[in-house]
Amino acid sequence: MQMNPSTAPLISIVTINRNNADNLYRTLSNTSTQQEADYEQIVVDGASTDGSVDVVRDPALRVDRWISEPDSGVYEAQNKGLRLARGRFVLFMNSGDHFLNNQSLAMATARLDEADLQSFDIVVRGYQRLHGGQDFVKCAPDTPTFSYFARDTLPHQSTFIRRDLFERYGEYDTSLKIVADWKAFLLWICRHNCSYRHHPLPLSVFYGDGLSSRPENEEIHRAERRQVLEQEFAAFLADVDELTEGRRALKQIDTLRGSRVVRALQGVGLLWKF
Amino acid sequence: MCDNDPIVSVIVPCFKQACFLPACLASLQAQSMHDWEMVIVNDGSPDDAAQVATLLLRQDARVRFVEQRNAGPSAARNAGLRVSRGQYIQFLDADDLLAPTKLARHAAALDADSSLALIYGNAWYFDDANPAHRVRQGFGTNPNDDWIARLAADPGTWLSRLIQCNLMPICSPMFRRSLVDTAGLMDESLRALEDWEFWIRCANANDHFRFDPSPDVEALIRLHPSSASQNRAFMFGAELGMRVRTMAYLRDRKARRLMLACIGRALTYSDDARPTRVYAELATLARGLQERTAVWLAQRFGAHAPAHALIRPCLGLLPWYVRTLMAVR
Repeated sequence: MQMNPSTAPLISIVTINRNNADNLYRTLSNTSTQQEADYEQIVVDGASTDGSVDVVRDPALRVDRWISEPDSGVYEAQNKGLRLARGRFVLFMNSGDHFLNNQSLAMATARLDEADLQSFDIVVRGYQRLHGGQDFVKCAPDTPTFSYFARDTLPHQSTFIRRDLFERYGEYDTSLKIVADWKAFLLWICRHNCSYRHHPLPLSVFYGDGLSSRPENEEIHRAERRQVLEQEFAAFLADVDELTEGRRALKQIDTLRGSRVVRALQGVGLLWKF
Repeated sequence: MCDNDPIVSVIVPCFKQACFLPACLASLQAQSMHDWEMVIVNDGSPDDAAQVATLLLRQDARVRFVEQRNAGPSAARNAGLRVSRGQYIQFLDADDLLAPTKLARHAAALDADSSLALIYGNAWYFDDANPAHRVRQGFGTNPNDDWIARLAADPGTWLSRLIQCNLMPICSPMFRRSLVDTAGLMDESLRALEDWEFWIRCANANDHFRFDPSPDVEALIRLHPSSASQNRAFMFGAELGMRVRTMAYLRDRKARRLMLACIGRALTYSDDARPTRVYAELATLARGLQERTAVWLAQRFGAHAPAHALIRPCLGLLPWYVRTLMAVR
């Protein structure tokens, strides 16, 4: 379905939420204060009972369109958000995510070009397993390869997606619980050869306690990725496994190389090349 | 589309009409067909539409609710269209009602004939203050004029009938979702007559429409003291703008010629009632038109000084030999 280009904004920010009113407020109060940006804010709520709807209806916050009703999961909600979106680019800022500051969106808008997928960097906050929970910047890749997707994904909080990709290649796969956005990125880039650009600037803040980074979801996360790879790229799987194995071995060698025993042996001249 | 999707999506835009929403839902609950969803789209209404809709949501699980910042009825209907899940679409304004068998009969007709794109029925206009009083024509001079049935019987194709005038109130038809996929959504930049433009675009995409004269499929349209149409000059400009815009996509040669004739007729309604703003709008739109249209406009209005002045920018689009033939500078 085409939209009328004359009235459509450049960016649609889609926020999905379920029973997470405080985080929703954090996100919306941040997007509402973005300066000089041509965007619309869409909220898809999963029939929350914790007052999320009151947050959405808060007249101080900017929400252009919203819906609240039961849904089967994250990706059904995101698909609903897509259908409500009218912008040329879509950005998924889920409940709790937010921009780094109130100039972030204007900064990003000024840099967007024609590429299908455009990623900025993210600031990771409160991720206990790395850097002791300290903030750190996670860069998006310069050139996302198949092996990159085999171990990582693009950060959805800072990836602008041309909305027509969904019209050309379909919406998110709602049969997946956690990795449907990863699957979409993988297929767009590795199968459909969509154009990609990395803008090396931090755009938004990601909190390390999100759905896909919870330890209890790790198993299902891995299983779903494996399932998608088997369905879509079975012939590549052995290559990816070999590469992963090779990378792990290389890492072990690196650790070994830095170890005290090896350095001692090198120090006394018993080991030259390693 | 999943198995549990409803058959019909009823899209109800709501602006300052919260008080009618319960009656609107009741008219759907009274339908002989139960497999529908009602998508209420609150178009930033300043009244308590959201509260009323929340109550209705609890009352019936088939009700869905979307809210947007005020963006006009077309934007509201588009939002409803995009989140709806049914294979057939029925527009219903919050203050209007449907005959209890309308959804079932229309859906059965669309099921039976897979080439049929749109089916519509007749309508009554009714007045709250005087419930016994029902008329066939809500806004014209002759209340007994059965205009929907009369126009449906005109000769020609559906597209040619629609080009001459709007055939149906917005609550009358039920159409296939695939029609929207080919024709596109409603034009959000039109300030009036957006439904008429939409039906023309639909007929241009698939001319297979049908009128069902049965009283079982009628829509009931509420008359308000304020619902008299807007002032003449505004409607005149809106009609002209809408017609010129359709020239961008009308494919059929006969249809294009008929539309041009209608544009000509609209231009000659009355010289006095023709505000300069309309000329300006026409010139802007004409610039994007194909050459033939510009030639036609120049031929017809070349003698009319102010019109000529406004059409001149379009003449630049013409090749020199056409200009020489037409003897225009």
